[in-house]
Amino acid sequence: MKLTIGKDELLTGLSRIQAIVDKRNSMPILANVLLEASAEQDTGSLQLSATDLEVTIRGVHGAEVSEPGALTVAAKKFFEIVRELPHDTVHLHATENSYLDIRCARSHFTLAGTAAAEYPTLPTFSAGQTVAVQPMTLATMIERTMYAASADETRYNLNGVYIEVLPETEKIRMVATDGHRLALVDRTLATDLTGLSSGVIIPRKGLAELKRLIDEDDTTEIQLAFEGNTGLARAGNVTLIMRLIEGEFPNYNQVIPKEMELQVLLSTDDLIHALRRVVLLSNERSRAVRFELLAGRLTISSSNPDLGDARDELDIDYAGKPFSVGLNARYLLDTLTSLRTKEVRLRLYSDLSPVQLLPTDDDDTLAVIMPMRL
Amino acid sequence: MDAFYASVEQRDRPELRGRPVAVGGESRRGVVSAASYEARRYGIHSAMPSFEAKRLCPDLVFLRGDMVRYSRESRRIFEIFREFSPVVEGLSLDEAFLDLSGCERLLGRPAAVGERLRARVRQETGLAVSVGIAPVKLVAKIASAAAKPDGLLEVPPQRVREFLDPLPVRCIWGIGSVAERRLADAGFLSAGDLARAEDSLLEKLFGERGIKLARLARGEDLREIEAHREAVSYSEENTFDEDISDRGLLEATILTHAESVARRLRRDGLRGRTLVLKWREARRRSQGPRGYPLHTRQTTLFEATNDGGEIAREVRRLLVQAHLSAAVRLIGVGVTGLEDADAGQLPLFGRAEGSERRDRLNSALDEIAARFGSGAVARASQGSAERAGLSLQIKRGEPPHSNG
Repeated sequence: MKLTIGKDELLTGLSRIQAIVDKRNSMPILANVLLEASAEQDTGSLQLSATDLEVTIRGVHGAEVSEPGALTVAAKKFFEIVRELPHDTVHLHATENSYLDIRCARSHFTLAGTAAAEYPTLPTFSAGQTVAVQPMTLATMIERTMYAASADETRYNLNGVYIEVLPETEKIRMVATDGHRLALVDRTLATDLTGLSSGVIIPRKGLAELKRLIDEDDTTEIQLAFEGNTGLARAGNVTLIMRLIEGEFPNYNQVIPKEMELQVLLSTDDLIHALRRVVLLSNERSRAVRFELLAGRLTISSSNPDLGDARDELDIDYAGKPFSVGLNARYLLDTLTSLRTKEVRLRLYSDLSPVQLLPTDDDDTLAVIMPMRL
Repeated sequence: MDAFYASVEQRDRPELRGRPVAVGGESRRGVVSAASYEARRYGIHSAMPSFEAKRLCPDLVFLRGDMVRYSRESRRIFEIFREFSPVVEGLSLDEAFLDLSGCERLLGRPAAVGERLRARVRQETGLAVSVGIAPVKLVAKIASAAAKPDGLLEVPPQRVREFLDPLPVRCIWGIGSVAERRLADAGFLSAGDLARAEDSLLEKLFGERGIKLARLARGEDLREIEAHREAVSYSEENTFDEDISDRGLLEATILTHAESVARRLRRDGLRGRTLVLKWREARRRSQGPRGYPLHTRQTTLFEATNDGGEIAREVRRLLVQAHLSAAVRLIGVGVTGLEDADAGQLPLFGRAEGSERRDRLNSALDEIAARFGSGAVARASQGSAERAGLSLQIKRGEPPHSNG
């Protein structure tokens, strides 16, 4: 393998895969990046791939390839080296004993590598047809759902976001829940999303990478496709392949409350600030705060036998009976910060029934939080 | 911490500095729990019988020790640890794992962090601490021992094998004297011997455990650093007077154990999510008390429980799935994955209808049991084990009551 490539191009490719290469993985070679140089297109290309076996990222970068070939090297070290190189052309050359010779201007490194044959076979994706979706819409959907997915590995079917097509509206729905709260967004994302006839669960890590890919630069279009237990996303020259979670997503419809007794409108900012103050004296494990609706005001309070009491008030348009409910402030803050909307509607039914949070400017976003017994 | 208890004593009592000091029990069966470096020169080490330590060094200053003072000191030290990492897993009063991954940009290189931590502890407490840095827990622990006294040892990822290979297998977690002997018989003396062995050979010799040990010997320790290591499990088991193969009796015994474990969970305000069935076959495979093969099966519930009926139902399901073919001499029920019962968070899914009612019923039963004894009320199916004339030699296991 022998090629030249611009420093910035190489750096972009290497920085993109840093989150994927897992230092603590059981297979040491997964800490490496796979370099594959081919001379097929025009002058040639360098493909950079990394995988943790769940999520695979592959980027194709323009390069002048004089000798096709492949090699793997420690991804982090290679990245650190390239980051410090002068802004110039980088010459890469794989030597016989699996070393990568790196030259740039007057700098010279030889980096110990491992033969490409040792690298695990990367998942391939055969579905020819992908569907273009609007990146910003997709980013919003991820942002508004991913936080609610469970990080508890024993609940593996909740470790991701469920995505399905709603037959009535042809909208795409994303839902996530950890068993205590739930977040849901519907959007017109694409019609006929390939392979999505029955709904799939995308793992958190895959979604985080997808979000990163969207945020990376002004991607104008993301291609999506699903096939079997694999999901694919492509932006420009970068391909992301995610192993989907095999498991049944719970019947979430049954926990979205249909009837709601009470409703109050709140400024999201005011609520966030009040919660951030009150949570300071809440129980550190449960993060429980008490919401009390009284005529014209909402009080939020916390109490901790070791620390003391906290209490904050917000004006609300409410004239009903006094009502109180316990809620995990962490869950509320997660939801409110993900919504990024000016106002939020809080809908309640009883102190033991799910509480709904709805942004006022969007009928297709919904969050549900189960109360706490106080 | 280096010679923790002894160092605290030497710090607080200057007249002890430079002298051999041991802290431990003074009774006939007492053992040394910490020895100063001066004492170690005489060959004194922790876990050594106290009388032997005194014999080795007649000048030894032997102290009963003051656990209250040591734990106060421990809290101060752990607070310093937490300045360096949000994830601190305490192993004992004077030993902890700190997770520095992802902190490099914030704190600097691990070795530099380690030196700063050592300086901070010394400045705040006047005590010496040794630091081991490695990509995995096992290696970090061995490195910290090797760094003593008052040192720091970093084992970078590419050096892990080089570091572990020459060490005796005994250094690997999970290898005690019995396993050490068995490994030695098979020609495995050093960690390197284990690391280099073929998985297939290890599996043949030691089963799945062999593969796991080899993985540790290669420095592949996947356990994350756990900030909270809490109460582990509640369990109850019994050895039958005669071997039992009657399914009904086994199920009744499971219910008895499940009810009792559940009652203790409720007493301590806990619920558990992981349920364990344990049994020992009646057919002896080898000599000794462990000669009867022991088996366990476990399942994890969606929501934690402290209801005996629910525990029994799930554990009986494990029993069915285990397809017992022979009689058993011991059966037990355990609950782990504990959480606070009154954490109060209600689940969206899962807690079946009626669970509130069952909670109320259980607390009523607990009250009756508290007043009239635990035999006063029993489920209809529960008494059959006793009725069949089986005496249950019950053994209970539960975590020590501690406040961290």
